[in-house]
Parts: sequence; structure tokens; C-alpha cells
Amino acid sequence: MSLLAVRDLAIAAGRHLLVEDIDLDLSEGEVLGLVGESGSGKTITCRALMRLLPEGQLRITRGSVALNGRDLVPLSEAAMRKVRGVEVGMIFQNPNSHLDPVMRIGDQIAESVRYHEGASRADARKRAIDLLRQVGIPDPAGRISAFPHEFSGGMRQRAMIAVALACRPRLLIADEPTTALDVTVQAQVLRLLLDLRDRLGLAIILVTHNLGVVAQTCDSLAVMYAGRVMERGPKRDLLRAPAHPYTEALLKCQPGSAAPAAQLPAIPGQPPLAGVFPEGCRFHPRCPRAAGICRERPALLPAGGKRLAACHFAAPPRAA
Amino acid sequence: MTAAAPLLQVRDLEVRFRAGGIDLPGLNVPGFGARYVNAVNRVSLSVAPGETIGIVGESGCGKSTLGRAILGLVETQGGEVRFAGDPVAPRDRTSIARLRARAAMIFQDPYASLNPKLDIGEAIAEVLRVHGKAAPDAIAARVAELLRLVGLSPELARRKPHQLSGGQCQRVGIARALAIEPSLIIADECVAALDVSIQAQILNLLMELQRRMSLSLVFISHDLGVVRHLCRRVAVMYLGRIVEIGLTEDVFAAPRHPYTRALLAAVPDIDPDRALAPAQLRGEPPSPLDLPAGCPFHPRCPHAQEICARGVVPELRRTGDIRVACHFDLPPMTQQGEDP
Repeated sequence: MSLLAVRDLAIAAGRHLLVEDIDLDLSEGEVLGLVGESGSGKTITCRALMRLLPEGQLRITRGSVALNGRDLVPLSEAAMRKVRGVEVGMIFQNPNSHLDPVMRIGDQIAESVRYHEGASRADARKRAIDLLRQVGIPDPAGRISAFPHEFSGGMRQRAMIAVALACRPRLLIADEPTTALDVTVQAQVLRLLLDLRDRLGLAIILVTHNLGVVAQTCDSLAVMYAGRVMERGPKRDLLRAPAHPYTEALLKCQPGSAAPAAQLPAIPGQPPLAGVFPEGCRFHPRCPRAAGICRERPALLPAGGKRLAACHFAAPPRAA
Repeated sequence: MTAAAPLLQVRDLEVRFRAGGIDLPGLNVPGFGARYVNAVNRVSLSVAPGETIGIVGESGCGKSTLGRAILGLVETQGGEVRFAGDPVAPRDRTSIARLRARAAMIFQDPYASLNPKLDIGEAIAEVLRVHGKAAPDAIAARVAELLRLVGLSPELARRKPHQLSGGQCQRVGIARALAIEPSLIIADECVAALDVSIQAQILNLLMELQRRMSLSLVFISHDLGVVRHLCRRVAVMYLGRIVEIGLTEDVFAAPRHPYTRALLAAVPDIDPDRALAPAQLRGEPPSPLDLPAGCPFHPRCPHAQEICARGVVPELRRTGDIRVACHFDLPPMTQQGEDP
């Protein structure tokens, strides 16, 4: 059984559906990349999994989020509080806005251990030191009493990972965790995430817009566009032989995939604004293969191998 | 290097910022004196007419400050900038005005670099008026022409920046830069804030304009893939200094400086069959306030020897077609394989 199974998830802002038809599966120790451009809905999807949507603005209108077989959508806020941090940890792009600037790093890690597990002050402190060591912070016993501003950007990202892992969750949701970091530091943090996956059997949802990061770290991939999953499946299949024209176009317009100084095969136009999505396939106004049938909405169907694609032209020809 | 006289020549440029402390002559109390960040440290480079050069490096390496110093947007503490052979004197208004009539800048944040209260047409017309590039009755036509040049419909002239997408705003930023009919454009992370599909559009536009108008382009970026695609030459900066400079294909094919090697190896490849490279560098760049003695890279360098920590800062010297600031002649590393 998969650790996380998302079925038919839809999120709306007022009358506008922002995200719909989201199906995701994740097993223990798997790294799933959630890729898409800004506004494609990847961040609000992650927040919805944790039931962290801004109240009164966004809500889940449909679907289920099963974690270890238990649906999180109908849970009360009190029950959710026991899921967050304990079963699922979350890290973000900007550690500065998710670490308390006037609280010592060690206390921020120990806080959730004390809250969720009722651990003693001494035990929580021991755990904090151990976690800082696990995320690769030198001199952990000395650094637990440091404040976030005394850490560099990469160390703060490591500290946030330590906070997220304090109660040993099985699933880590990482929303653009390396986007604000320099490449040499990004390499260190990605390495750390993979090490944690290997050591703890952690499953990771990695939200990113960087296909290079995906290629080097993920096992499977879901490509989002305008609030829907366009294609999902094993990483290698999607990157080597994309079935959906959007995945293909995204790969082609990477500067690395064309000869230097050659014109890049850019995707014409721009992504639609949230809530005013085109009818039918949402990519069709920018799609090189669009035809009349694309005004009808394509379902996410098997498209060869283990992958699924939402494109009228991607499905393997059916018998008869 | 090209035979043509360089359009832009930068020699031993230095930019220092004060970072706290009290700047009083004679004040000699430890801990109270002014502290300085050497943001740009004796940087020299030249750009030929029509040439594209990339300046790469991680945050805090001084690449943006270098770009700003070239256009006289920050004060310099030493060295010289020559544009079309004439020295640019930072405090001499006429020489700065002469420079800015032919050199423009494109910024990273397309929204922040446009006045939110001006419509797009007005933002471009303003440049034309200030630089006297069009007669008053010809301004509207020229604005429309510039918008078309950057791939926007002239009807957008009435829109305000918030009514445009990020990519459209960046095109407006480019149109404003082109309004002065420049011979040099300094682009500071001008595609960093854009999604990859839009980024490709803007890169195509820049390449096309650059060819058509034989612009010189100084392209400042942290994105090595973009620089490799766009730039003929590349300079790699670390803590305020250029550590390696040469033709892009040479530097990318066989980087000489250990920092360039680590930087290239750290870029995640989109090839799914290449495993994540082991992290090449430990730690992060030291604070520019507190530069290490000797080679500024030595605390993170896998090849560091005693001389690197004690000795003088290595000067750029020529090895093959590349110039590199390292005490050692490391064997060329082909491809982005493991460092021996």
C-alpha cells in the first residue's frame, strides 16, 4: 500500500477552481518531484495535503488525501495538528520566514518534540543535538543555542530540515527547498535529502521548477500546468521520452538542450491566469499539436509504460 | 582576443562598501572603526563591440556590483573604466551622461524596475525624451516601434505594469534599454525571475537583438546553463575577484580553477541517468567582511596547500587560452567528471 494516495483532489478560491483532478501516489522511501511553472498550483496542492490552505480564501472542494490509509480531508483541526510534524514534516523555500528569529535553533527543534511526545527538557535537547548532527551542522552541541541569524543560508535550510524531522515523520514535503540557495550549497542540501531518504526511509515530495534538480533526485515525477497534472510516471520515462507535449516543450526550452547561441524552442504565449483557464485541455492554446479535439478535456490515461498523460494524442492506440 | 578596439575596458576596478563601524579619521578603538566589504577587488576585463560576456558566480561574489560600477551607479575606490576609449570619471556628470547615452541596464525584477504609476508607453517615452532620441511628435510612433521590436503589441502602451505578466514587463525593460540605441547593455540576472518557458523567449529576443544591432552585452547571471548558451566569453567571480576568464566553450569544457570546477559540477544535469554528483565543496563562501588570507577560495578548496593560505592572492595568469587565478596548474579536467 502506498504511504500517500491523493485522489481527485480539487481546490477552489470562491467559485474559481484553481487545482483539480490531482491524483498522486507515493511509497516509503520514494522521492516524487512535483514540477511546474509559477501559478501551476504545485504549492497550493502541497499546502492542501497538509490542510494548510489560507482559511476563508482557499478550500478543498473534492477528493481525498489518504496517508497510511486514513483520509486527512475530513479530519478536525485538532487531529490535523497531530498529523503535521508527527506524520508529515514540511520545509519551505525561505528558511528566514519559517524559523522564529528570536528563538534559539535548539528550542525550535525541541519544541515539537516536547509538544508532540511530551519529552523532558533534557531528552528534547538531546534529540535536537542529534538532529543537528544528522543534518550536517558542525559542532551541534554548541550550535543549538545559536539564533537563526547566526547561521548562513544553507545552515538555516539544514536547521529547518531538522525542525521538520524532529518527530520522525514518514513523509517530508519540500517546497522549493533549494531555490534560494547557490548551486554549490544546493548540491549539499539535495545530497542531505537523499541521505535522509536512504537512512530513514523517508518519502519526499519535492516541489521545484528546476528540471535539473528533478532529474538528479527524484524517482517519479508529476508535471503540473494550469492546475492539473499533465503527465506523471517514472522520472526516466518522462525525461527521456515525454508523452505530453507540455513536458516535451518544457524539456526542449532548457538552455542546456540546444546548441550554444541557437534559438531556443520557446513555448509561445504565456501560462493562463489562475481561474480563467481555457476550455478543454488547458495547454491547447500554446500547444504545437493542438487540434479540434483539444477543446474537449483529456483525462489522465495510461500512455505507455507506467506513465499517465492527459493528452488526446498521448494515449496508445486502442484496439478496435 | 578580438582585434577590434574594445568598446568597454575595465582595469583594476575596486568597489568598497562600508559595513558598520564609525568612519572617523584617527579613531583607533578596536571594534569601533569602520569595516569595509571589498565587493569588487581589482577586476579587469574588456568587451569588444558586438561581444557577449557572461559574469557568473554565487550570491555575494560582486557580479552585480561590478555591473553597476561599470555604469557609474556605485562609487568606485580604484581602477578605471573606459568606454569607447574615453575614461569614465564617476564624479564627472558629463562623462557619466555620455556613457549612459550609449550604455543601458536591464534589471532582474521586471516589476520593481518600472514605475507602477506610469503606463508602459509613458515609461518608454520618458527615456526617449530624457535622451532626446525622438522629436516630440515622433515619440508615439517610436514607442510603438520599440514595443514591436521586443515582441509586444503596441496596444499594450496604455497598460500599467501590474496589468502585464513578468515576461511582458521584462520585455518592456528591454525596450527601455533599447530606446537609447545603446552599444552596450548590462543585463543583471534579467531572466532569473522568469519561468523557463518565458526565459527561453527572452533569451531568444536578446540573442536576436544582439545580432541585429551588434550590441555588446554584459550578462550577469548565476545560471551557468543560460550563460553557456548566450555568451561567447565568461568570467567566473568569487568573493569580489575574477578567478577564471576565457572563451565559454573552453571554460566549460576544461575548467582550470578549482572553484569553476566545483561550480560546474554542482549544476544539476537534466540527464536522468547521471546520479547526483557528490557535493564538491564543503561549507559556504566566507563573509566578505572577513576575507581569509591568501587565496580567498582556499578554505573550501580541495587542492589547497600551505602556500594558498599564507601566500599572496594569486593573480590571473594565462594558461592556454584561459586566464586563471590559482597557484597551481591543475591538469585539465575533461567533462564534468570527478575531480581527481
